[in-house]
Amino acid sequence: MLPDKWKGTAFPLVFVLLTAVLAAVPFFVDLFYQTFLTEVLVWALFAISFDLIFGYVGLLSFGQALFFGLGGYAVAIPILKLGLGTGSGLLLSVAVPAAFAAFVGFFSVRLTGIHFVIITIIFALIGSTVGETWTTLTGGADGLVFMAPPLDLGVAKLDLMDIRTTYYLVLAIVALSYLFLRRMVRSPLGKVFVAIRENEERARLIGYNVRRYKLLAFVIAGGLSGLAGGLYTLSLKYASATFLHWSVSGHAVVYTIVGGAGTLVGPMLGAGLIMSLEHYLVKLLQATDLVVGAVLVSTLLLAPMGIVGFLLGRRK
Amino acid sequence: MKERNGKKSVHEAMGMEVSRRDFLRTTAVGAAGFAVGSLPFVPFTYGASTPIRIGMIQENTVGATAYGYWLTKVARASVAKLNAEGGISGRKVELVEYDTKVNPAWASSMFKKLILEDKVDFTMGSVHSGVQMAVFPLAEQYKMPYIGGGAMAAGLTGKDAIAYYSRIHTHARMQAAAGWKWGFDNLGKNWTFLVADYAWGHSLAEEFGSRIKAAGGKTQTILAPQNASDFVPFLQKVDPESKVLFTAFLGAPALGVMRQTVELGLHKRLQRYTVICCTDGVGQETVGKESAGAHYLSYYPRYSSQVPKELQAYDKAYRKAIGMTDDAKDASDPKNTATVSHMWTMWTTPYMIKLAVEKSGWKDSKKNADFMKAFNTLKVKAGPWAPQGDLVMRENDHQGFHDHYLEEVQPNLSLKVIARVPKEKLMYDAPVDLRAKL
Repeated sequence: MLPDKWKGTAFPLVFVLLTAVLAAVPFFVDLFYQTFLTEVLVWALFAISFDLIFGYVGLLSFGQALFFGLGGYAVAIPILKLGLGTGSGLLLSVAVPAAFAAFVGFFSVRLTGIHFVIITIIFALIGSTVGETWTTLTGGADGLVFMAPPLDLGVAKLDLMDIRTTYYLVLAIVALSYLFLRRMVRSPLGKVFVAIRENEERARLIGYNVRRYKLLAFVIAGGLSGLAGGLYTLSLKYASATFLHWSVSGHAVVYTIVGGAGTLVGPMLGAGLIMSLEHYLVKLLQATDLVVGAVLVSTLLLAPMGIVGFLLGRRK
Repeated sequence: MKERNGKKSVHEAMGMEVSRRDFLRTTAVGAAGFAVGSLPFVPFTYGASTPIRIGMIQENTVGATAYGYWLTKVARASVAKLNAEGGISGRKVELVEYDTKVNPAWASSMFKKLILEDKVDFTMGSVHSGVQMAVFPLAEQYKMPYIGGGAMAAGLTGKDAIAYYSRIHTHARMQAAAGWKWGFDNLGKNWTFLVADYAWGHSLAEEFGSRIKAAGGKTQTILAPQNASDFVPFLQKVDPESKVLFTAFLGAPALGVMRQTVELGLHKRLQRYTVICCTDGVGQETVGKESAGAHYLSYYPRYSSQVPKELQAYDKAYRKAIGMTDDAKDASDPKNTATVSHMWTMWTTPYMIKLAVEKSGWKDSKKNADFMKAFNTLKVKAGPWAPQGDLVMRENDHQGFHDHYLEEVQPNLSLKVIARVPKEKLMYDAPVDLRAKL
């Protein structure tokens, strides 16, 4: 346990140090590891957006892939078909999925437990079916290839064909998103989320509009999932209906459970660990998913609250 | 050594004392003897130059695994043959392989790995159009030559074409060019397309249908989910005036639609027609008796007996090299049917890489543009490396052209070639011109 006088400064110090280390990475590793870390950061963002609704509000959603995929299309389609810039695409990658999340959430948050899980899968399936069949707009399963125009920040133009530039952009956005979520979950709003997770009935009885809070969390998570999808699409220069498939949500679920739900840092750690494991295993065997499955099962059995939960001494 | 647990020591067992010095001396002499003795058996030694590395992505798990299995098997055999013949420009060829998991995002990561970590010189593979599209930006960004391996979306060498991609085999538009006229003349003028409701199905219906209509025929298109299991509701919509039922589904639905067509008796009034992609890699015994009488457009005869006479010697050697029997089964597993119409691409591609390297004087990535120019002007003659027959590349759109075949399912369920469509008849106007982009 840290002494009280250090508690206030520990997080900023660790955060700045870790960000500085990540910012220094491109000077010490080759291009492949820069692209790999970019992907890890994107999936980490997707995982923490899922953690907001699962780890803090207690809603197991398999529909996050819908918002992830929509975020990808919100970047690709405007650039490819409307001639818009990368900045507009990134803004749309938050706004469009958030709007869809409001619609999906309006129906979904009325349900609880397994019914909520099923309805989110259904919405993701609808999205993926539309994506696969509306080929003139989405390119279907073949997808859309595009070249990202430079991101105009006013003071500078970022060339997103450059691996290092893309890495720094993703790092900055993921760091800011993490700070935003951390601030939120530690605010009174975050306390309400946790109250709903712990005892929805009691939260309702003491006067909170539970459905509204759930919807708010769902929309924020949808927007951030979309941002992750947008960044992913920008890094690949490719968007596809396959990103909308509900199984893509499984990535976020696995990273969050392995890392530790309800911690924010856990899902990021989970993403890093699992993706690194896959990266090293792929040279040795093809069925990397089996190993990931084994890790997931082991975690559930040995550390039900995930790695971070285990390190913090939590037990079910 | 002392005896332990009733076991004899080395000294007792051998009846002699072996000192450490004796042991080392004997070992050294033995090793030297082995080394000297093995020298005459080294078949081929390469120069000091680094190997040429070909990166390959294939669908080995999750889905389309029959393709992944065979295309990988063929690519390995092809590279082994190349190395046995001296490699490429005296350099050994190495194959670096990754699974795509039929997942464009994962495949993109693996492609990055091939380029940035494994430092491959050329790339090839994948039968999934989405996977190929997903790696296009990387191929373009890193000027990495990428030779496709079975994906059929016309756009890959059409509206979506890039300078660093080539496709040596057929696709939906070429299949339509090859198959519509034969079907129109021999099967009927009114067609119903019952196809999977996604890009591949759409493109086949569009490519065949537009030609049928332009020739004065009538068409109807019915879309069904790719994973449909009950086709009765869709088959009931077939126009009573239709004479040809063209279907396009992959895997189990391809078999399902064939069976239910027969169950409803539609096979009595409709000629059934499809592309071999639907059941390539599926044994006719699995497709079942319902397939008798159906017609397939294929890109390489499944059975060796159906291969044109002038190609049979090459086909025989090819089948032997890859471990495939005359009736297209795995030599080591009679239940495993080969994806004959697709997998030949992985046999010919490494050889074409060799030809293009030699033609362009390629030594490293600085000459990748020259390599691509050379590759896309190749004219490969039928031979040990081209058992499918002559193959011509077109430099405008980096598309290859080869003969196609019409095969009919016989009452005994074997596939019989009833027509051969020469590549010259498949030439369509190049939709793009990539020559200035290299």
